[in-house]
Amino acid sequence: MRTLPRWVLIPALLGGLLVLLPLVAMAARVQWDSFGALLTSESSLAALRLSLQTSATSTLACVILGVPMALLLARSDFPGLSLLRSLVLIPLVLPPVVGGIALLYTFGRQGLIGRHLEVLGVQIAFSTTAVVLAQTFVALPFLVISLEGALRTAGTRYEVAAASLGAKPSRVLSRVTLPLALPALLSGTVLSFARALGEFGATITFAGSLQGTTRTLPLEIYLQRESDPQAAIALSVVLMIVAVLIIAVARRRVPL
Amino acid sequence: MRARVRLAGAASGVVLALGAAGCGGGDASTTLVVYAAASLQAPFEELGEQFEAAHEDVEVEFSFAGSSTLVAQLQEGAPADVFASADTATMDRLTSAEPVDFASNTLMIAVPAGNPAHVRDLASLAREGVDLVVCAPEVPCGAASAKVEDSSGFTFAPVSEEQSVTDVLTKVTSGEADAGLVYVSDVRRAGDAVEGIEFAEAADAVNTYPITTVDGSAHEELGQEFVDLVTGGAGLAVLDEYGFAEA
Amino acid sequence: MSLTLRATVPDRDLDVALEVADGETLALVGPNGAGKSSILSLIEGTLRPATGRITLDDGVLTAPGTWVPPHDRAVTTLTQDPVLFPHLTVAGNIMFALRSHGVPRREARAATSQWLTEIDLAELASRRPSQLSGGQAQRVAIARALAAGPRLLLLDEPMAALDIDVAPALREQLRRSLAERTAIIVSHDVLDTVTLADRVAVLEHGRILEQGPTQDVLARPQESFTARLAGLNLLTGIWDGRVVRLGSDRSADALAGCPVGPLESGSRVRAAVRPARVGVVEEGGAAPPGATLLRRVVTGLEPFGDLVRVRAGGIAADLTPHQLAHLPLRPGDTVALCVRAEDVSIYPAH
Repeated sequence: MRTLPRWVLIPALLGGLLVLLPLVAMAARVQWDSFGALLTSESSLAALRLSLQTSATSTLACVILGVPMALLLARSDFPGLSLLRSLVLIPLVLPPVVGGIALLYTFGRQGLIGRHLEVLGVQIAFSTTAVVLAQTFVALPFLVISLEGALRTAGTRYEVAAASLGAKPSRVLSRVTLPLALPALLSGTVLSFARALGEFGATITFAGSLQGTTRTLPLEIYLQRESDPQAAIALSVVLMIVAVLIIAVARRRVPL
Repeated sequence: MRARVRLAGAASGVVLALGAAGCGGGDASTTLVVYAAASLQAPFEELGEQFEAAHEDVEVEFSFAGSSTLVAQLQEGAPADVFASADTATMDRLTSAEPVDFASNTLMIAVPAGNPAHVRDLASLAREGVDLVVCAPEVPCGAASAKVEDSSGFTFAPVSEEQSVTDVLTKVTSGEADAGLVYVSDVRRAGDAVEGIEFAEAADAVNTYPITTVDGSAHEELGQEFVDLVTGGAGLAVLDEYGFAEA
Repeated sequence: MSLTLRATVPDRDLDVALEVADGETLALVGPNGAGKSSILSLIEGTLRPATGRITLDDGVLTAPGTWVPPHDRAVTTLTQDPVLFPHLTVAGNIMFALRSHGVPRREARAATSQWLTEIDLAELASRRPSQLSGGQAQRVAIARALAAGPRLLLLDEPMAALDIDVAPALREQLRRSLAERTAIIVSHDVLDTVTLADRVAVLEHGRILEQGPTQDVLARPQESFTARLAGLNLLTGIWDGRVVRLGSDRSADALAGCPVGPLESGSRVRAAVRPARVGVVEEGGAAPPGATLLRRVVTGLEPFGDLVRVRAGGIAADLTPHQLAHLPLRPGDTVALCVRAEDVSIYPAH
């Protein structure tokens, strides 16, 4: 603190206010006497339930797909690797709506893959699967980026030592590589979950909006805004509390 | 949808800046700010050009978004001079307004070009295997759809209840949905991408578009002139061209 | 468990062939960048040679078309960094090695406590590596490496990172552990070489310059690096049947010494003498009987323990400060170095 120039304080405070003030302003608009009733309405509960379910599923999908991706990106060396690494991060910088459109052209009824699935009697559009796909699409880079970074920083010396002791590659992975990267894996998982929970643009573009099937909490908030702003505020506060809880829990376990 | 809201916000920011410049400048051009429901975009832009042609030194700035979104912004003090809503219920939320109804719009079934699910009438929409997309009941077009459903006695099981009528139209034009309930004006606007199917029950849910000047507007007279243009003969002609009916 | 290796790695300018017999410990010595670590990498399977063949007993580890992955080689490496897994306890680290070879959990647990007793760290079984001292960690690393039951043990500077007062105990531990094992040790420390290795191979610029039993190589070095390692002055000349001629012309110094074994007259020979046995004679003084005087120009003086090492013309002489007080030497001065015949061993140059 003593080593910092004093003027740093001003932009830092402004930045802090920019983040905190809107949250405070929203909390100030909450009508607390009807808060409980707004939250326990059928549509709110359905949205909350669906959001938690789909976010948990897509987080699981992120772990299953993202861990091997991070391992390959961190531990292999081939021409085009850095290009591939950038491509994997595209959903991170892409506007979610664009992601939704891209998913539509892939898994939609007329889409690249969806067309063939349709023939097999599988329809992804307008289903909860579509929500999970959209959330996984946008959340995956968070897991990959944090795990890959940790794996690169950790280096391979423990893995080389384990192999030298006779441990087979899958044992090295499960007993050495992953346990050592566990903090990064956890923080990546938490970030992915948070991103999935907040996902809006790709979902509304790709999956549609139907109570209990595709209308997640952010979509419900956006819709309630049209007719019942108070319900929208109440739900926003719930989402905010969940976000704060996630960060608090994650911070205690791992440095995010 | 989200992008559009941002656009509306950005536009009002620009207007604020222009307004301030106008105060200091004296004889700089006047900017009339019109907030209008998204479905009115095409006819209003045309009417805006007419208005600018008739008024030298006047520039018309539009902000098109969902009616509810616009009302919310107006309630927070957004600097608009004129507001046109897609239904009377939403307009009624602006307590101080004295609106004039200027157009109406009826629902129509929109199906993708070629009508792959062979939709013929309202009854087809209740058929199993037809992926129907409608507006959510919370927004004007959804309220109209619900009214149609009630009066027809059919029970629809839509695969999605969209936020706005344009979202419904997109689902139909892209072929994701087999059918959607949208306004006649939307079908007209979509051109060859969709086919429209009229149905008798639509008469039970006619949507009326009201327009008003906004309280506290700096250009109330000019605003009233724009309202007069819309509600007058020229306005009716343009609106008719885009599929709107008389109020 | 005998190892044979023949390999070239053009990228690293490496071209070597060596053998380690069953139960033997070979020390690989040489200056930095000579290729010692590359040889270990070849054997452990983290470096592929361009050409060559590595076999352990009858099994081929590396050959054209054959590549045994590191974990299947039964070759375990111990480095100066113990590389204990930080997320496992001390016992967990040793268990890991045993379980990696399919030892059932119960047996592995019993074997682990045996290993812990052996390295005298039973009371630290449940500690994390971060709670160990450097010496303790390295002892655990040794136990872990041995618990893996390697057919060949590779030691890469195993004591380089340890404090001087910890090293002796660990060296003793390694001496006991390596007694019956086939191993290769890379070290800069001559003490490691002497205590742990049966044979020495000297490596420079990716080539093996000399190799042989440790005592022979260190007592009769052929290369200046080996001589430095052994703490000897190494001189090269021609044996004229009586003395060593240190130059080609008539005025060349004639060094008297003791031939180790028969020498052929006119052949190239090496002469080794310890710096402590090199004296300095005062200006104008005569050589004592049986000693050789070598006139050389002083190039440098440096402290060496409680002595002062004087370097003159490629020969080092260790003098006491007291001796030096009588002879104020500066770089550039000419000095008469005095070597007694009985301190010089003479042997053929290869």
